[in-house]
Amino acid sequence: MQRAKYLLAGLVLALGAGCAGMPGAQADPLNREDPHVAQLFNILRQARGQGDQLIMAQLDAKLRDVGRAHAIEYEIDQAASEQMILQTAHKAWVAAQKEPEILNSLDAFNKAIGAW
Amino acid sequence: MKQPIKLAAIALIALTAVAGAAQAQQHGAPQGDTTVNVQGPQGPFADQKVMMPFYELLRDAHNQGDKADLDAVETKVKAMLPAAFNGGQPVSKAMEDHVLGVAHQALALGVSNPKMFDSYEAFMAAMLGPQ
Repeated sequence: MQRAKYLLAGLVLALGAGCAGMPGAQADPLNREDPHVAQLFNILRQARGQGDQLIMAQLDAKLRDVGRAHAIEYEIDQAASEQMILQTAHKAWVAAQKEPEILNSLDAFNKAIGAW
Repeated sequence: MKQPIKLAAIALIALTAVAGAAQAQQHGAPQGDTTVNVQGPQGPFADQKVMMPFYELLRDAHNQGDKADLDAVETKVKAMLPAAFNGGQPVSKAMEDHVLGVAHQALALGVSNPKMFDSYEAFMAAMLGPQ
């Protein structure tokens, strides 16, 4: 019974960490001078402008394309790059729902995504 | 001037300076190993005939704020590249991606620095920095 409680607590912590947006192992922070950060910023601003018309599948397709370009430019694995860009963008999108000013300047966006 | 766009502009200048040679190589841009003098002549990047349409396109997108159609902007930038940078021949995907990145940086920085789109001169000053 005690062991089950610890397992449950661990699961809750892990889920909580995920929900709080803690970076995963593959989520290397982006460099603030990386043009793909600016591209993410523009894409998310456009997504905000679309309001109810936003189609998440189309947004994700665009984000994957950014990940592909990022992989080519930095000569890294494409799947990992796409995943990293998707994860970073999704976290920023969720954060921007609470703090819209994140999408009002590139500097604020850089801080929000932890770009170095 | 913002450092990121300056670096991007320098990269674009370098790209432009070697565009012809780079296109002859499979991996010529932007991570090619061609050495260029980025302090030297800026080639088509400083040519108003090349840059004015680029500026006008980004200015119009900037003026539309978050309603800008980025897909349309990207399509138009891609359409400009062969004539602007490679004598009418198609440019590499890497070069295309790189120039699109510069365009995105200009748009992104313009959100908090709208004056850079007030005029062509202001735009070029923001892209190139103090001369």
